[in-house]
Amino acid sequence: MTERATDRATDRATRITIGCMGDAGGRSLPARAKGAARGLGSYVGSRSLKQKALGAGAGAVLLSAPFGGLAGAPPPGPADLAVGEAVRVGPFEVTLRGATTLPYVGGVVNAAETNRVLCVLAEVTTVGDRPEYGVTLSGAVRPPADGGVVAVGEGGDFPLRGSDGAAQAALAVVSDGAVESGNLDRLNPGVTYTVVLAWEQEGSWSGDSVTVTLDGLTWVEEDSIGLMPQRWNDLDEPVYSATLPVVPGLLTVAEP
Amino acid sequence: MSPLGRGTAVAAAVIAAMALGRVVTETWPVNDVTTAPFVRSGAVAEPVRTEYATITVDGVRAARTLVTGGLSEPPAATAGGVFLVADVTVRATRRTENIDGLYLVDAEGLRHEGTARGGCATGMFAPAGVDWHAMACFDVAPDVLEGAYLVVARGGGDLDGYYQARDEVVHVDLALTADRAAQLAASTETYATWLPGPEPYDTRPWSPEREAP
Repeated sequence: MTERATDRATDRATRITIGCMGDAGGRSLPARAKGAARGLGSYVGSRSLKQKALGAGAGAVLLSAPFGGLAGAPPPGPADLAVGEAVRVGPFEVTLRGATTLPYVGGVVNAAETNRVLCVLAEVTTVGDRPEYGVTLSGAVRPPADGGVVAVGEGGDFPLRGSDGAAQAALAVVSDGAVESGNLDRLNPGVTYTVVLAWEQEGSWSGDSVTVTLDGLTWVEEDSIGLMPQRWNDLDEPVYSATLPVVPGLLTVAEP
Repeated sequence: MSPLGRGTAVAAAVIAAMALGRVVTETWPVNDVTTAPFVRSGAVAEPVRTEYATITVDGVRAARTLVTGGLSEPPAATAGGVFLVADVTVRATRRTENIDGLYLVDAEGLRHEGTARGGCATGMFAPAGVDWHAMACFDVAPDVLEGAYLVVARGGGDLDGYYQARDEVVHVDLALTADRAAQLAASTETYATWLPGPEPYDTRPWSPEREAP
């Protein structure tokens, strides 16, 4: 192609582009908009009242989208859980029995001398078909917000429960009413334990009850990047909430 | 032969060659790689030799409670079900071996892991050339004992055997017949736990009167 021919082709392309942008069909943009609005008005006017109402509703929903109108419904709050009621939490069947405070639980929670240990008594059975880690269960139990639990870094040495920085419960077996010294590390299928979930508690705390909340656990067969497949994942969504009476003397500690 | 006939014959020959190739590759897959472990089977008190270690299950016991190190303390651990205790000796061949897989498989194929409660071993680092003794304790439901066998391996049993791929894995028949399983399930014994080490440990039932060695 010669230079002149190239220039002609470029000029033609430029005219076509400008025409598409500004005056196709010889009409200005405001004129086209007015025409479209008249067409829409005519179309809407010919609809039935019911169709108009439905269209108005759909339009209102779409207009509310930037403000969250199309967002999913918030998850329902945790269901109330009664003392002694068995519920399924991931691979576990959990029954909460009550709560108490102990001066110490050696080998389980190393509380400061001025503090105590809040213990939630429960029965747990692994109803899944795999051995599970104790931390899978203890991680699903939130520290009671009204239980005076010492936050991480304020005297406790708990592992973190999650990104919220809350203290994770220690999990220990109860035998004949006494808390064993040492954590329950693995729970095999079909085995039932009486356990405590324990947190360091401020020594000044006083109360008649504590609220215990259980998170939902969901099975992850394969995760998106393949690093942690086949595990129970804490949804970080409370599914059960129970108010447990604090009963003095509910538990004792195995003396060292 | 006409040009059309030759073309048809060539096309038929090409299709036949492709079909033959398909049959060959499907009959003898060239891309399949086995990930299954190499199982070495054995029995109690029978050394099982692998490329990396000689592994022996010296005995099997059952306990209701465990005490740590034979000290005169209250029970360190009480079973939710029953503690099946396996005394395992590993003699690594050339280098220190990390025995991370140490678990039971019941008759239905379910895995049951050991616990560290009371001081039991859930695995061991076995140095080369030394008999390394470990006491593994499995808190299991009594009804899973019958027919269960012990697995000893370098890789753990998680992820459907992913960590045991193409490695030697020892399966030890614990001779848990119905009678033996019932006997073990009814155990009320207490045993002392011992950390893994080169010295054989006391496997007799623990009693408060006996002094700690």
